[in-house]
Amino acid sequence: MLRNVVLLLFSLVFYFYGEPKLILVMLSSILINYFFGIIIHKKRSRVILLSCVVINLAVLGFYKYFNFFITVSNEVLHTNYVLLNVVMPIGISFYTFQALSYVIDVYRQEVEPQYNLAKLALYISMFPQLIAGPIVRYKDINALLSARQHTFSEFATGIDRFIFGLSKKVLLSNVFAVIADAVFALPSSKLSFFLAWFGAISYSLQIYFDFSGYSDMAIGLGKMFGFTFMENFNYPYISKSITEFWRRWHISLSTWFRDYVYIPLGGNRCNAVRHVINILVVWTLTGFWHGANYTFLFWGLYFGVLLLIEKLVLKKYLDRLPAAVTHLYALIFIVVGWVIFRSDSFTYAIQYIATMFTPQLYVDRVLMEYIQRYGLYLVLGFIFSTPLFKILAKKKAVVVCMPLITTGLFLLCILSLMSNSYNPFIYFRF
Amino acid sequence: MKNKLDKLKIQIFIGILIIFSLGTILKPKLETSFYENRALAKFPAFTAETVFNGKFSAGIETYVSDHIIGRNRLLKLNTAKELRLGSPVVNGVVVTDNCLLPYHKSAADTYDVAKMAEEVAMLDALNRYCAQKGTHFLYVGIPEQGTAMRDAYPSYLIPSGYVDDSMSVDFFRQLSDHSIDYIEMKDYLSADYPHFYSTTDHHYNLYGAYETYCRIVDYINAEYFTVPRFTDLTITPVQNVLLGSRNRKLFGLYPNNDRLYTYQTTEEVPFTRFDNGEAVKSTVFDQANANSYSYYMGGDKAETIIRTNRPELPDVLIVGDSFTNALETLMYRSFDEMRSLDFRYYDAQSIYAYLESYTPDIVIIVRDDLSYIHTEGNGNLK
Repeated sequence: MLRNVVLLLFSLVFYFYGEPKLILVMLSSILINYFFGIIIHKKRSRVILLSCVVINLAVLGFYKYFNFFITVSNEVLHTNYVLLNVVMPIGISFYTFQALSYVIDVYRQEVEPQYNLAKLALYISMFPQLIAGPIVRYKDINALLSARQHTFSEFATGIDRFIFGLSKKVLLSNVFAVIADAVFALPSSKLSFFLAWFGAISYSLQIYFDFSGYSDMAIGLGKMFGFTFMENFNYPYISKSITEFWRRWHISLSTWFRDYVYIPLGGNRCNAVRHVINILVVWTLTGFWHGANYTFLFWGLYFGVLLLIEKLVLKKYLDRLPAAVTHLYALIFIVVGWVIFRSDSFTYAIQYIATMFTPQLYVDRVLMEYIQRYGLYLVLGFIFSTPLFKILAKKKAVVVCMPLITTGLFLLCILSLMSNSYNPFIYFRF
Repeated sequence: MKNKLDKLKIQIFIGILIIFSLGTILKPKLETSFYENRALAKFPAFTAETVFNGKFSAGIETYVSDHIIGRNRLLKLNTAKELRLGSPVVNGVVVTDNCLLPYHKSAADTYDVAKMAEEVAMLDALNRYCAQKGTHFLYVGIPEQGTAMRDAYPSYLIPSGYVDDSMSVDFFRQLSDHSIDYIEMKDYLSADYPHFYSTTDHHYNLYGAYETYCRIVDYINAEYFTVPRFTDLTITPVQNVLLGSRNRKLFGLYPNNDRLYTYQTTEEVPFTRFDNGEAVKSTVFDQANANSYSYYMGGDKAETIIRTNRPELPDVLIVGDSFTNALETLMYRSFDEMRSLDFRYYDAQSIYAYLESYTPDIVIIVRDDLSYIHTEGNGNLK
């Protein structure tokens, strides 16, 4: 019990540090779902469940989507509503979905309701995965909230995982972010063929190492505290189809949508038309979950359509083609998808993608600079996108050297974080 | 075996966290960073307001970043790592085989036209004021080291903050249009930039300063009045390796043989010197700073007065930043009284008020090309 209280306190302080006012939103969410969980268990009422779901989504909708809907209304319906100065609480998408999974699982009688408020609060607010996932299912850690083991082995494994995640974020993702931010800041007229691909690939690497890095840190920290969180990424860039990609990318989100949206809608146990609609609805919502912008909606729909095409038309061909070809096919569509995801507007995304598919022999000076400065990181990015290190990590020699490797990486991360604090006076004259 | 390795790993991890946390809390806090040339963050105010508006947590992050234990050592280590890896840009400095240059993320298509107009208007007003008082006015523009060494940039890096030279071309044309006398030192220093400039600092060296001095004196002699031209000198390197401003950003890790220069002469000109109203040692070379540009004149001073007790010679007021320092070590020799002001630090009065009480024979504004259209500091001549 003491461990839970300490962890809960630290989690709340951690959240308060970043959101001193909006912590109230999370605390309210905890309380609401706590009481609804108990009521739903007692009454087993679909109406009560739906009320709880609506409340959760309403809170999420207000903070994340309110201004988007206002903008759409003003643009499409020519209304004149004023945008509000709404600040989205950090992690609201993640903890709302966690809370929803709890109440729905209680309704489905897959879990007992949690009568201990502190334990439920800990489940929802636990700091390792609060900000960036993985989305943890209550049923996966329910037992661990009451009884969990701490061992040196698990703690050490957690340290490794945490440091690898930190390294992905600090040593790799942040570098690719420099390139991607610079390229995507250029007006489309200043993009060239090679530069556009370079920027798109950099962003693809940035988002992978950023997101999977955070997941690794969360999983590692969870392990240190005795929790086992689900894997969230499984080397998605080795995929040979879009279907496979979504089994490897942000697994906790895609399985959440499968279990709580797709299957309740009927999944694939319905007629063909309804099945297609179900897929498109799920993927539109998946895109929309990522952000309140047309680009995210379209990004989700883009993958929904691709998945349908693969399922209905391409699968038999993909199964016959060489792996290298299907791998390239998948990567092209994934990278193009990230361009849509990253672009500030739909128009920019279209222009960017058009440039990617308009071959030119011209090589920008900017591109040459990036290759010179970051070429090594690109190579490392490609290597660490594959399971090569995971395979090597099982070799005895690597196991023995692992403390040295992780210490070295940790120190490199500290160095890199330190260099971000280097801030010479701009008018450096004396 | 695995158990031992696990325990070792845990001890190292926890140890690092403890060392950094406790070390940061307990270590004495510095106020400034020499290598970054700035004040370090202070501990943020802890009030209900700052906690709830997020300023406290943001301030804590900045504070910890600035004061974490071993910060300088770690930054130096990181810099060394980057240099060893052959990164072409380290800490915002372009690293080439022969010199260090400023990094330009992008090149602007155009300059701030309004700012240029404002600056030219101020110079014009000052020029007219000086003319009314019978004082000559001369503007001296000097290319900064990054401009002078533009050809040293790797082909894939942007060599300038602007796509072309229209800013300086237009600036001097406007000076000409307003009948403001000027010398554009680019025309002279470009003859041999490597000879005239430091390889690790943003300034010209004493050779560049002497070339500038000669052009100024020649111009004055041709256009205004007669001043002696100091020619009896031998320029020699100072023994210490220079820690130039760009190399300072690299923690002095860039291997180089860049030097400061001094001169020897048989023509002694005794003088008295006053810095900010106080009498100081009569020297123009500060031996205590023999490895930095502060060697010249002891660095930037709000006001320096050098009196040579030669009333037959005219008086000069020089206005500018550190680009005047090396020049001043030579200029005083041609005048009875030389005063210099640096308006980044001098705030006692405006230049107009200053000129009410002190009327030199000539006012010389010295600016580097990155500052031509800056309207603050020494560009704020209201």
